[in-house]
Amino acid sequence: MTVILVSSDNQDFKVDKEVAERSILIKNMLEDVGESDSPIPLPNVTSAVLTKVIEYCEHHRNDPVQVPEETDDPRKRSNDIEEWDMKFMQVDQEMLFEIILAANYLDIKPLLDVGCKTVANIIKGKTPEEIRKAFNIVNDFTPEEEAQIKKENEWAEDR
Amino acid sequence: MPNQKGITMRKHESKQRNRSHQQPSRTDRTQHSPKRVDRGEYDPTGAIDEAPTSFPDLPIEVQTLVGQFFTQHQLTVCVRVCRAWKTLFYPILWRHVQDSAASTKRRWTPRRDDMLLMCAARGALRTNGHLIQLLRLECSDVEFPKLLESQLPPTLPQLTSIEFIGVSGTDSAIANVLRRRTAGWRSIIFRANHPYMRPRFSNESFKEVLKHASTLEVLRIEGAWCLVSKEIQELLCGLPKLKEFNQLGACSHEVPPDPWLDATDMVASEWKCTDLEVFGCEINGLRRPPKPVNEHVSTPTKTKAEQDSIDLQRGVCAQLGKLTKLKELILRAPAPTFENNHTHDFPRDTRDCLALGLETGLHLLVDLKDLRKVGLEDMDVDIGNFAEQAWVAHNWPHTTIRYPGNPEAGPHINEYAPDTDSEPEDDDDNTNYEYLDFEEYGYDELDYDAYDGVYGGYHWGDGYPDYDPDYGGF
Repeated sequence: MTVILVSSDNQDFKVDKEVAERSILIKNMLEDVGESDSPIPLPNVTSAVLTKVIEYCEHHRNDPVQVPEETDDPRKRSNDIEEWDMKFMQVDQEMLFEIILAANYLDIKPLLDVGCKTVANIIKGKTPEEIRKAFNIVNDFTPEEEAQIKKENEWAEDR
Repeated sequence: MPNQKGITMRKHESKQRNRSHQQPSRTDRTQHSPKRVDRGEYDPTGAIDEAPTSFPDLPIEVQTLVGQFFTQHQLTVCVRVCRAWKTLFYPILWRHVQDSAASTKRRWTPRRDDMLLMCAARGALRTNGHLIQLLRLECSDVEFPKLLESQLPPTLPQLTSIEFIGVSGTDSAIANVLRRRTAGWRSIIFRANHPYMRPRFSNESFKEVLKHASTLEVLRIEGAWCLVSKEIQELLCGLPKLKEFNQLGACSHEVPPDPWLDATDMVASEWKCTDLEVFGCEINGLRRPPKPVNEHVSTPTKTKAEQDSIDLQRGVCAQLGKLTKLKELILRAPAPTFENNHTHDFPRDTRDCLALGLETGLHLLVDLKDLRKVGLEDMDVDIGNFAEQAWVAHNWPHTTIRYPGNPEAGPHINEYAPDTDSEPEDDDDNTNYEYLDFEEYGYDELDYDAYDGVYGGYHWGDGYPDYDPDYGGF
């Protein structure tokens, strides 16, 4: 069975139901609507982004459903990205963030995780100034404030 | 200071509001973003007529998610990027507070380069105390309690776990920390890392701990108790949520003895802590019954004293046997006296301890199906006998049993251990078990196919179970 997804720029995408249901948002929609051929509009996702997202879902169509582990420590590792996912995420930064937004909107947790890990890996090893440059962020600290923050958190720095 | 926040912050906020909504409107969002064409940038998607999507466009919860993939060090960099990032990442950075260079192994010398203490002295704990969920401090300075007193805020609304190492604190100093308003204690760990720098966990602290019966899951006090058996029983009867109760210190018998549980009290008590996964304790007042002459036939007639001691042994086993969720069981024979504690003066087989023979109640532990590690310190037990070994192999196929401090006990069991797997890799470990001599174990000599894999399923690896730095993640 296939479903039709419509991107924000009105392009139709015909995908297997199984693939589309990697998105919990779509899965819930389909369950609510029941058997229906009507296309599903995705007003927040452009065709370029939707193409990528579908590519991801196709590749991971048979993955087991992720069970979120409840731990006290929210700290997670970012160096465990699968090779295919790593290649998949080799896109320019704007596309990367668009994919993350789409994954968040469509509720595709594994894709959201991979996206966030990729962002974390971009930030890794950069200085505050390099991060600002990478993400167009204005430094709104005075030098004294920044120094103070550094001092306060020295315990957590790698030594 | 709205002026200092700058344009990024405002753009940031408005975008987040829209984005976090289920169906954010693109047009709303673009109103606050400079046109892409103005900056002359190329948009590869060719679809969006606005500034390139970047980090500030992500909803707060997604930004937080990114933060969870950072190491502590990366977070210290990120909080310096801008105010918005500081607000975003400070709660993650300060959730688990422990010195990044802190050792997870036991150490006997005080540290001089503890950056966390320096930051604390500058007031960092006071400023950020409201964010801390877990606090791990290591210090052997006598001034430490004073520092804590002045630097810990009176209310720590998120704090649930605390670990102090090597603090030479007094009971009232410890109680003072425990008394602060927190989210309710889940884990309390005090570890003396030096035999002469022992925190005193006594009456006052004991009373504080009992107040947290509804939340407390971990109570590990190493080399630092001054409680009597009745008080320990009270803890075990009054803390139903406990998953770990460990009172065995790293210091072994070198210093005044750890407090012990009296066997008779133990049998008479109604323990509530049936969720226990880790139990480490010294049990006293358990007369060692005479060993069966022949391992298959026990002495037919027994004196009353002998039968009483067997009954008591069984009673203790029955009590332990109720802890059906137990994964680790660490027992230690009490030191006869602490002034005169030498092996040759007190032959091990005359020391009072849990005998763990089939006659003395080993079979009552049959419901401990999840048991993976057993440490029997300084004890002369019957598990070395054939019948007991067969019982162990059948009922605890995945359990590793070790005998720190009792080299003679080693060969009985460890001949089945694959190679040197069960040998601790950690040098520190040896220092704590003064009688331990791994050279004498003679691992490789025997190879019993039937037992292959029986003891191989578990890698004892990183020294003693209570030093697993990842442990206690519940």
